[in-house]
Amino acid sequence: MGTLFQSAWQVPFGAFTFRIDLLSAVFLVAITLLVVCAGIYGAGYMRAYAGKKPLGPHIFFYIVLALVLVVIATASNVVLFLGAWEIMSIATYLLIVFNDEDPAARKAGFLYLVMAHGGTFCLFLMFLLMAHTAGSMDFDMIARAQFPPVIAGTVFLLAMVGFGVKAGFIPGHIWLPHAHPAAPSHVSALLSGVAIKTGIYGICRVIWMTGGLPEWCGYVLVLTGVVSGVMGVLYALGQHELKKLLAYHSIENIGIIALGLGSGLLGRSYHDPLLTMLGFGGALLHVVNHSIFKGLLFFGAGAVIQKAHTGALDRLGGMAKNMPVTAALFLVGAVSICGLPLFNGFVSEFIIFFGLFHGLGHLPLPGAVVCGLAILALALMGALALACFTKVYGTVFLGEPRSLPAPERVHEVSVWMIVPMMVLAGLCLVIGVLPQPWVRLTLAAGAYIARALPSGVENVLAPLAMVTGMAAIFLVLAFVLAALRRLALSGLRPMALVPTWNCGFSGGTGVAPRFQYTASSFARPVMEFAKGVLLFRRQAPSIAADFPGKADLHSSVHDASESMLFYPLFRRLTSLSRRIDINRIRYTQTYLMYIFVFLLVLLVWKLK
Amino acid sequence: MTAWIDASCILIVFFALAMLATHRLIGVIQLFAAQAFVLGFVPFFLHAHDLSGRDITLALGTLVLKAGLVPYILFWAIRRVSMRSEIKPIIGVGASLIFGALLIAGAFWVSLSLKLPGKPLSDLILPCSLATVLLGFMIMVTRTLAVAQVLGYLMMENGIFLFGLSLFDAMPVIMEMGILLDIFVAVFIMAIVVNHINEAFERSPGSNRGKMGESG
Repeated sequence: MGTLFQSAWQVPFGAFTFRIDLLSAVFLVAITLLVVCAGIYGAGYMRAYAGKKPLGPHIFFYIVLALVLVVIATASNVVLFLGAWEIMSIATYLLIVFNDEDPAARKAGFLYLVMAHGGTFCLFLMFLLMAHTAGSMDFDMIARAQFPPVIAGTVFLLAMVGFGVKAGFIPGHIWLPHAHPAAPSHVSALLSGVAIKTGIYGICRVIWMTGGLPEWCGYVLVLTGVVSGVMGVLYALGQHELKKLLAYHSIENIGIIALGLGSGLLGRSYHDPLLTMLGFGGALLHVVNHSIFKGLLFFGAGAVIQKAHTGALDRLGGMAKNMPVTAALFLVGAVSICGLPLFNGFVSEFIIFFGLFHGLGHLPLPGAVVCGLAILALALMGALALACFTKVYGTVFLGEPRSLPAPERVHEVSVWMIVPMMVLAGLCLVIGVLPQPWVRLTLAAGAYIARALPSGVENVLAPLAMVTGMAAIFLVLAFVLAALRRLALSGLRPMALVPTWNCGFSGGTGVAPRFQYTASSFARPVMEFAKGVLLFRRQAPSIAADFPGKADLHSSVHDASESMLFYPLFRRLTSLSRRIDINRIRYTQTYLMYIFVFLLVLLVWKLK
Repeated sequence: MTAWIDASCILIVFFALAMLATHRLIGVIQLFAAQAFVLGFVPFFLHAHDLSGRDITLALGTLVLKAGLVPYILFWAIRRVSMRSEIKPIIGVGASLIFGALLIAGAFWVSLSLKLPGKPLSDLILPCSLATVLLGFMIMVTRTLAVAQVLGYLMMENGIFLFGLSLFDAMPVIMEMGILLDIFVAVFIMAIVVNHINEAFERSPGSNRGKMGESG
C-alpha cells in the first residue's frame, strides 16, 4: 500500500493519511473518468441555464464533490474518511436541489439528506466499533487487528446498512429514484456512476479490513444482491419516466456488484482463491463498467430531455430522426448495460458468472445452492434489462414523436455534450473488445481485497476471448447477410417510405403517433407475470357498449419499500415530533432552556 | 502577574452576574463593554514576561471589537429601534441573582475535576470561564429582547475566549476563530436593526415566528 501523503491533523484522532492501493486505484479510475466527462458535459448542459440562474454555487459544489470523492477513495484514517463522507452528502444534496423552484426536487433532496445521514449514523457506530477493537483510527492498523466473530458480524451488518443506503441496496434505495430525475443530468450521471459506488467502495474496504468475517456474511451479501438486482430491474420496467427508469437500473447494477462481492466473500470464507478473485474482481470491473455506461445513458437521457423538455416515455418518440448521434451513442450504452458480448457490461458479468459456476462445483452444499440461485438471478436480470432497454430505445428513439411541442425544432445537442458521450461509448467498446488489461487490473484488485495475489487469470481470459471472438464473427456474419439481402432486393422494386406504425394507412402522418405501441403496453406482459412480487396497479376501463366513448388507462408500479416501509415510518416520526413540538417546545427561550439544562446535566455527570 | 489574572477573572464573573441582574438595556451593554475591556487585558497578563506579536494582536482585537465596536453598534441599534428595557422579564432580579450564584458555585465545583494539558497560570481561569459561559446562557434563556439575547451570546463567547486563553499554546486557531465569531455577531446585530426585530422571536401564541419547527 503506497502512502501518498501523511500529516498530523488537529482534529482529535484525525490524521491526513492518504494511501493508494489497488482497490483505491480501481475506484479512482472510475471517479476521474466520470468526473471529467460529466464536467465537460455539464458545461454544455448548463448553458441552457446561463443568465437564468446563478451557476457559481453549482460549479463550486461540483468541484467540491469531485475532490471529496478522491479523498474518500484514498483516505486511510477514520476521521478523514467520515469527514469527506459527510461533505460528499452535503455537496451532493446541494447539487440535487439545483432546480429548487420545483417542489419535487426539494423533496428529493431532503429525502436524500435524511437517508444519507441515517446511513452515516451506522457508519459512525461501525467505525467506532472497529477502532475500539483495533485500538487505532488508521485503516492499515485496523486491517492488522483480529476481530472476534461477533464483532466482525456486527461491523459487517452496520456496513451493509450504512454503506448500503448510499449504494442503493433494496430497501435503503428509496432516495435514488427521486434524486436522480430531480438532479441535472450530469449530476445524475455522477451520482449514479460514482457517488453510489462510494458505498461499494466502503463495503470493499470493510471486507478488506476485517479478515475473518463469518460465513453468513457472504450469503447475506449475495442475497441482498439478488433481491436488489431482480427487484431493481422489475421496478425499472414499470417506470414511465426516463431518468427514473435509469435510476432503478442503477439499483439493478448495484445488485449485480453486490452479488459479485458476495460470491467473492463466500470464496474467501470457504478458502477458494479462484472464486474469491473472480467474485471481487468481477464486481470491481462492473463498478468501472457501470460508471461508464450509466454515465453515457444519463448523458443521452439528459440530451433528450433538454431538447424535448420532457422525460415521460409516453410523450417521447422518434428522437433518432432528429438526434442521430445521441441515438447511436445511447444505443451503445443500452447494449452495454444489457450485458451483450462485444460491449463492456458483458465482460464483468461474464467474470461473475464464471466465478459462480466455479462455486457451484467447489463450494459445500449451501454455498452451491446460493451460487445456483445467483446464476439464475443474474440471467433473469440480463433478460429483463434487455426487455427494458428495448422498451426505452423503442419508445424514445424509434417510431414517431408522440406529443412533442414541435418535433421539427428538436435537433442535435452541442459538441460539449456529444464528445463526453463519444468518449464513454468508445470505452464501452474498447473494454468489450479488448478486455485483457482491464480484467487483469481488476482481478488483481479483487485478489487484493482478500489480501492474496492473483492466480489463474489466464483460465478466465481464454474463454472470454473465445466468446468475444465468436460474438464478433456472428456480428460480422449478420452484417454480411443483411448487406447481401439488401443487394439482392435492391433491383426488384422501390421501397415506399411511410411513417413507422402507420398500420397500412398510406399518406397522412396524423394517425401514426397515436397508433404506436406504448412503453406501458410493452412492459405489461412482464408486469402481469411479476404481479406476485410487484405492487402493479392497472386501471383499465371496461368496454361495455358497442361504441365505447373516450377512455383512459393508467398503470403504475409502486415501490414496496417506499410505500410500505419508509413512508409509514416517516409519517409516524413526523406525528410524534409534532406532538412533542406542540406540547413542549414553543418558545425560543424554552428551547434554549432545555439545551441549558441538558448541558448542565452533562457537565455534572461527566465531571463528577 | 497571577494576582492580576485572578483579579481580572473575578471582575469578569462579577460583571456577568451584574448583567444577569440588570434589566435596563443600556446598563447591560455598559457592563458588557466593561467585561470585554477587562478581558482584553488578560493576554497581556498571561504572557507578561515574553509578549509576542500574537498576544498584542489578540488583545487589541478584543479591545477594539468587543469593548469598542460591538457596544457602539448595540447603542446605535437600540437608539434606532428605540427600545429601552425589558418589559416582561421571565424571572425577576432576586431569582436571577440566586440562580446566578448557584451557577457560579456549580462551575467552581465542576471545574475542580477538569484537568487541562499544561499548568494554567491561575487556578481561577477555568472556573471563571465556565461560570461566564453558564451565566451567558442563563441570560439567553431568561431574556425576551433580541438584543439582550445577543448580549448573552456575546458573554458566552467571552467565557469561551477566557477558556481558550488558558489553552493558548495548545490550541492555535481557536482564538482567531473567536474573533471571527465577533465579526459574525456584529453582522447579526446589523440584521436585527435593519429588520426591526423588536422582540426576539415573539412570544404571543398567535404568531408563527417564534415557534420552532412548525413551519419547516
